[in-house]
Amino acid sequence: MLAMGYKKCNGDHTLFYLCSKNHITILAVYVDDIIIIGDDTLEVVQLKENLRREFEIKDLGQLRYFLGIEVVRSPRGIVLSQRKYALDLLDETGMLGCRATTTPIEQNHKLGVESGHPVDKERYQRLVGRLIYLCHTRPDITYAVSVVSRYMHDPRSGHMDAVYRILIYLKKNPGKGLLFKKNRHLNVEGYCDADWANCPYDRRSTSGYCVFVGGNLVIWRSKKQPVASRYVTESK
Amino acid sequence: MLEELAALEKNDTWELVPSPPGKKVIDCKWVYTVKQNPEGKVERYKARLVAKGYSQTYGIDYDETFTPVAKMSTVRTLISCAANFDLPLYQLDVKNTFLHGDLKEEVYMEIPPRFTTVETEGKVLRLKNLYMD
Repeated sequence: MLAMGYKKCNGDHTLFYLCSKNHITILAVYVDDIIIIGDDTLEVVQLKENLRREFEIKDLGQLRYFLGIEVVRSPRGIVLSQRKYALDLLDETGMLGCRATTTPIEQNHKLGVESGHPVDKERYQRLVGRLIYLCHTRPDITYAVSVVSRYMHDPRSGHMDAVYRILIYLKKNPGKGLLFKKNRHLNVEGYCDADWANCPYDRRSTSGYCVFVGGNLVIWRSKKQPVASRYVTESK
Repeated sequence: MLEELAALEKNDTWELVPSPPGKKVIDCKWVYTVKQNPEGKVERYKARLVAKGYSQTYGIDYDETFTPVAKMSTVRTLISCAANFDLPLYQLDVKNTFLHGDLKEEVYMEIPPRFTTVETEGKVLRLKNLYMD
């Protein structure tokens, strides 16, 4: 890539870019999958040609399906969803026929370490693992998933019920995803918040943040803080 | 399986050498997967040969591992750019990724299961590059 005049991105070493006068071409590598974005059609053709000379490459055309994530372009923007992944998960767990709920987790839940009898650990970890992957396009379940993933080492029936609750919530709208709108800017905005000492067991806080680039949500996180803080402002 | 072996041969993945005395020879196995398309239909069956890397010890058999994995947030940022300025998005798929790179250390592997012949008896493969698990 470097030989073709591309530069490596400092923030992410799998990203390469080429800037010319008014054009930009960017290439992202995910093991054997490559995404190319650019406004210079000629350069993109040239790039593909150069890559083909080096490796055996299959041109998949427009980006449609990447790591189990469906990419759809519409006049309103680009939609990312993991509809098939969510449906497969519901199918496997036999949740397709259930009645859906409107929230992924109980309000003011008091989920703690000891919550009922122990359950099948492997199954719990597998389910939560799949939910974590689903979080790539579902910020709405991120908090609930972060809560259930705290008990991976010793899951109890109460935790499993919370996992089922997330699945039942997914059933309501498995095709939900992220819409990237055309806002014609690339401003970066970040927001964060924390619930102060909300965990009744160790008084630690849980914080969340999200970052928008160009008016579209790209990064978000919900995480329990590693230490207990004394003041609301400290936790934030 | 034959397709995979042909690709491995073509890309000069290994050479056949006599068993080196005192060197550890790692095992290998076939991993089979069924490839599906987004609609869930079977596209093709795939066999991949992997070296059992977990039988190696850090510091003795290897000291560096690397896989080029893009962060999901990077991908979403790119898609935000594409949406904001109507940029086209393309996707490419590299066939047989693992073969593109070179291994400097001496790593030996057994002959793949089901492919031993008279010719390969008492010999092992010196790897130049292969998937490790």
